[in-house]
Amino acid sequence: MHARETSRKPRMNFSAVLDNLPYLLWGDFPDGPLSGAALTLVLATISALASGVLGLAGGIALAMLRGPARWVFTFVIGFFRAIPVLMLIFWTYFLLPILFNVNVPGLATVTCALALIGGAYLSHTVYAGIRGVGTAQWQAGLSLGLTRAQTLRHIVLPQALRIMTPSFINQWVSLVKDTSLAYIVGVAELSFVATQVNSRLMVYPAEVFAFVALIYFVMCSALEWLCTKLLGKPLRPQADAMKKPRRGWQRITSMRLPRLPGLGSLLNRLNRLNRRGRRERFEQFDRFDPRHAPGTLPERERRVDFSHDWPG
Amino acid sequence: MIDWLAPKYVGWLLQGFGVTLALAIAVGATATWLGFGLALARDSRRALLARPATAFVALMRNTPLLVQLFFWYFGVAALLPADAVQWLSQPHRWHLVLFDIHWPTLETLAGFIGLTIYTTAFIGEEIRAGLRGVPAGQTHAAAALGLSRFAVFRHVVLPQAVRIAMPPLFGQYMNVVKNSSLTMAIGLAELSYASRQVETETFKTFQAFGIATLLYVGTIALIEAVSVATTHRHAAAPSR
Repeated sequence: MHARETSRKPRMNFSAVLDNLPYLLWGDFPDGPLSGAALTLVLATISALASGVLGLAGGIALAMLRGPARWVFTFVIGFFRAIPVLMLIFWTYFLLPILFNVNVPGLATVTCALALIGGAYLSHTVYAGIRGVGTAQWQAGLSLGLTRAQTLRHIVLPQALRIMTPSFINQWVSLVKDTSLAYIVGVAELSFVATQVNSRLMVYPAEVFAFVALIYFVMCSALEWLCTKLLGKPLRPQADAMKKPRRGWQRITSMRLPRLPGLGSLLNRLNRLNRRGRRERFEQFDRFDPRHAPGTLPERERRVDFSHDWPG
Repeated sequence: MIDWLAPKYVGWLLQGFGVTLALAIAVGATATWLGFGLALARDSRRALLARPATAFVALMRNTPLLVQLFFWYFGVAALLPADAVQWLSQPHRWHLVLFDIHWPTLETLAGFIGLTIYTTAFIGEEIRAGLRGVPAGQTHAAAALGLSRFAVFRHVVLPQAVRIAMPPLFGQYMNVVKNSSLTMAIGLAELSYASRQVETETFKTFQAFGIATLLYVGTIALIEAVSVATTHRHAAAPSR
């Protein structure tokens, strides 16, 4: 509101904002409490870990539970997916102290709210990942004499986690963004510090918030890049659109993975076999040009189709 | 915790709910149209269109909505000439045949613009995914039938893309309802703002937030139900 009295300013002025850069990044840290972007990172890290654990547990519960317990659990998760983050922060901030008669710090309430919502979203991701692995893997594990828990732990989950990595990365990026809501309950993270700096400077609101948006952008992009690098999703799937799309198990076996003894080498071998097979089969089609499509048709027809005399 | 809220405060909450609904509908409708444009721009062969569209999407998706709202509310007001801000923040009224049109407050305007721009980036990506989900063979087949490029898009690609994009789009509409709660930070009197206000006045925390939460969750559930119904109808369509 106070910005309205200011007269026109033809161009943006970032030098005043840059003077406040240390304050925006870590507050008065060595002398005072940690705040600013550093606190945002702390908040995001704690809630990301908590939501990851909750999501894993919730997803496994969704996959393993049966009957009415599952219905109740689905309903609870649905509730946390439907409620706005802000409302849940209100609930935890205003109600936890009343219910437990203790003074809960704002940081803890926000972490709690973010972890619950992130956990609810990730539960569905994990559940979808477990479903995506397919029943054949379950049957294979069970027929080897493993229990349901062992099959889940050693066969299904390692594969499911790989399917889910993109969703996990997305969820964590949006978690970093959601930490900005801690502003509402007065936790001194980056957005809160930004409004402080804004009211101190008075006349540069556009510069302050554009700059803070840039800090968030750098944090989120770095997080996305880092996770993608570590967890091994192709950076941009559309960038290699010219390559033949991989489907189903090919996609799973050709992912770069964190090392897993046994399973990793097996997948590598499968991958190599698969690649060799593809090279032989698709050599002519690799440089496929739609304009010459009719010319390639005979090649396609010449391949003999054995599928009809395949038993079963 | 047993005593109920006075009717006056329930009225406040319902009024806030009305604002939330109106804002969400306006944002959803506008962002869907803009999202189509964005999806087409991102897939355009002209780098002059595609590059800025890509940068826009990356920027919107990787910055928090709250900071964007602050930028639109505080920042743009400071960048605009003083006369323009003066004009924008004063009430205006146009008299149409049957009813008056009121100029929205600056908070409403900033909230609407911020939410719409943010949502456009997400909806644009969903529509783009839908467009990409239509097999290229469909385009080729339609082109082989002699349809013009526009006709191919309008009658062959678009209906299939909409069908593919429908479930994620409904998910985005749910997000719009939830994200609209952030506009309370710039002082727009929607449901979260009203619940906070009622809580401050009455100290009935449980009732105030409970009603607001029920209204939010009910709205989301309603959208979910509509989504499921539409998806089923669309899924059933080809077999007819």
